[in-house]
Amino acid sequence: MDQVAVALASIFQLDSAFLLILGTFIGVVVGVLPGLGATHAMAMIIPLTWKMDISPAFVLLISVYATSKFGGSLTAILFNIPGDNPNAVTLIDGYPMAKAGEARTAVAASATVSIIGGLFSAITLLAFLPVMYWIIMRFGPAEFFMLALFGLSAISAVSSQSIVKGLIGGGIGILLSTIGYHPLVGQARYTFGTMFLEDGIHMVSVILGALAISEVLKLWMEGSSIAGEGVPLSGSYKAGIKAVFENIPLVIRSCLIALVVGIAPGAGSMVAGFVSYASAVKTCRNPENFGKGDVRGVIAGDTALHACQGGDVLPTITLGIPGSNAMAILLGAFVLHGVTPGPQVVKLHAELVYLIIFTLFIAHCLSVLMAVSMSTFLEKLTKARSEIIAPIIIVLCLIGSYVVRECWQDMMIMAIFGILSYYMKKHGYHPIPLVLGIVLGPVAEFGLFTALSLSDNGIFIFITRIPSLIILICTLGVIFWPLLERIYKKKQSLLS
Amino acid sequence: MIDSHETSDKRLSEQEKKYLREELWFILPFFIFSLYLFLGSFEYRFEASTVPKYAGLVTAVLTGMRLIYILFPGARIGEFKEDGLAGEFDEIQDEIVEGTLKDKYQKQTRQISFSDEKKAFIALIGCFFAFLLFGYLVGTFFVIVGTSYYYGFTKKGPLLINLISMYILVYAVLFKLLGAPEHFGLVLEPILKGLDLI
Repeated sequence: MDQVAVALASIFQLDSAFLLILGTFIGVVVGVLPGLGATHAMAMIIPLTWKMDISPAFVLLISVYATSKFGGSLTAILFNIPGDNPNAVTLIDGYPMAKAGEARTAVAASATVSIIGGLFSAITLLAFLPVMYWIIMRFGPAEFFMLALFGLSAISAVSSQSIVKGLIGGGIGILLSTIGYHPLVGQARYTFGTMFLEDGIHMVSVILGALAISEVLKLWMEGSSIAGEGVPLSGSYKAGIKAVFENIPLVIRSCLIALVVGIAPGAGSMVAGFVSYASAVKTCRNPENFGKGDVRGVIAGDTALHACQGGDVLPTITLGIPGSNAMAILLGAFVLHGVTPGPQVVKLHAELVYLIIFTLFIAHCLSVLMAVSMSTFLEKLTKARSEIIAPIIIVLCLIGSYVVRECWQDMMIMAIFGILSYYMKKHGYHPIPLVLGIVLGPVAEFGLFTALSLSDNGIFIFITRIPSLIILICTLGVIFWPLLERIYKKKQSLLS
Repeated sequence: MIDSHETSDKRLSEQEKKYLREELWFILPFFIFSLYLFLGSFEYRFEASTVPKYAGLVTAVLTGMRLIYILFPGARIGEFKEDGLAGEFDEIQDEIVEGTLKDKYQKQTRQISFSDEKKAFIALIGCFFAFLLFGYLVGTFFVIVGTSYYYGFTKKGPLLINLISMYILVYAVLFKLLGAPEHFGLVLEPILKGLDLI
């Protein structure tokens, strides 16, 4: 209970409260800008938090993460332009509703389910936390190492077109993390005698380059293709709120779908939104109305978009396995603030976990108020051209990579990884395993040698401890899944 | 993007080969890097060498296999066409997205040529040099104005608003409020120091 009180007190301190409002504003604005989402906003924000205390820093990051989706839904309803890819599910019914003069109804329905989704996310986290805590308390260094390995292989398996391409990215990330002093023996590795490399390659530069700069390059290359014709805000807000409460079973089902999809690493809110929408079409009465401006379409899709955030955050903060790109950045934020991502967060910084949960819910509520009251301003933002947006992101990223260590080489590394990641994405290598490799590499290395130094049986410690063995089997399962599947299919065809 | 599935069972066209060769931009550096770290790991103590040795070996083998496929596309080795869980998620997503978004929304995308890519890379490198030579307080001006003009956006009103809002953020918030370090770049710093301005 003390930790809950500490978390609540931290949020309502003047600086945190201000950052909560600022983060919500940034999240809504970035959500409205087409092509940009929570991942880009968090990548740009992370360097700004480098001098902050850990609590305000996470209030800012989580409020940006939580709120970017609603801004995107608003533009999907009013302009037929999803702010981010997952918001495409909202426009299927949202835009036809707006064209039929029910824009306010759609916006109100979306806003209400956003708050319900935020509340569900917070409840999910609060409910699962004691269970995860019980499990984590049984973990030692061997399990920490195995978890880092599992996180890397799981993300490699689900994020890239081919599992081997994902593993290549993860391998490069781990190798990059080995540059500089070894955490236990203090020996300098691969420094070429330069002082800059003694501290290693900083993950902030890699994160900014891989996730933000590569998108800026794409924005420049594709040029401005923004803003369709807006629809005026008409209809009734009351009707939208009423529609949500008339469809509570649909809301609950969407929340449960989102929870399952959110926990699966790499699946993300886009899958959650569309699976929930498809399930609504299959199970609701009068399915022919979907796609023609049925409020149930907005409710099903948007509930899942917001409710999956709980499932997304849970494995990230408890096990160090990110459920999405934005969560990989959150892991980086933990490292930046001196917290080892994974089970150590729950063990040693429980108040931070509660802070994240409460921020997630409060930011959802704030974002609804902010987005609805600023709809005229947000409408203008949808017309922003890439020539205006791109330099803003570049400036923030360049400053961000410089200020963390005051090295100009970090800016150069960011630019190199921006270009590399652009080509990697183009050829089906997602940069997330690379980012995760550089974040989780030191955790894995530290866990490996701490476990070995405590072990009487050498490397057998990883198979003689039951939790470690289970995680090892899961890791092998994830990597060799395609092979197992092929063998199973062959057997099935032989039998038939 | 060309799916590797399509390339496996037929001869590759010139365009597909060209596309495949583009992978050399990052696969070759990755191969050299992982091989170097693997070989270099032998000179360190056991604790310091284990992770780079094994990670380097695995990555060098995988990137080497891919390199063989890029150089000899007829070879089956390094094709890496197996989907893993990613492919299954993608299939589910594609099925649902296609079914639900059909005729509703078409994402506007255009073919990106090499000259588009080159132009963007030059802009990025230009931004880096602006910051390196003039620091972030002055470099911000060059980046915003320079890249906008480079991309043909010359409307003074939006540019001015952009500049003012960025200076509020960079100078007032980052530099003054959050105490970001002073940085005037390789060119400006000696001049300002010579004039006793910093």
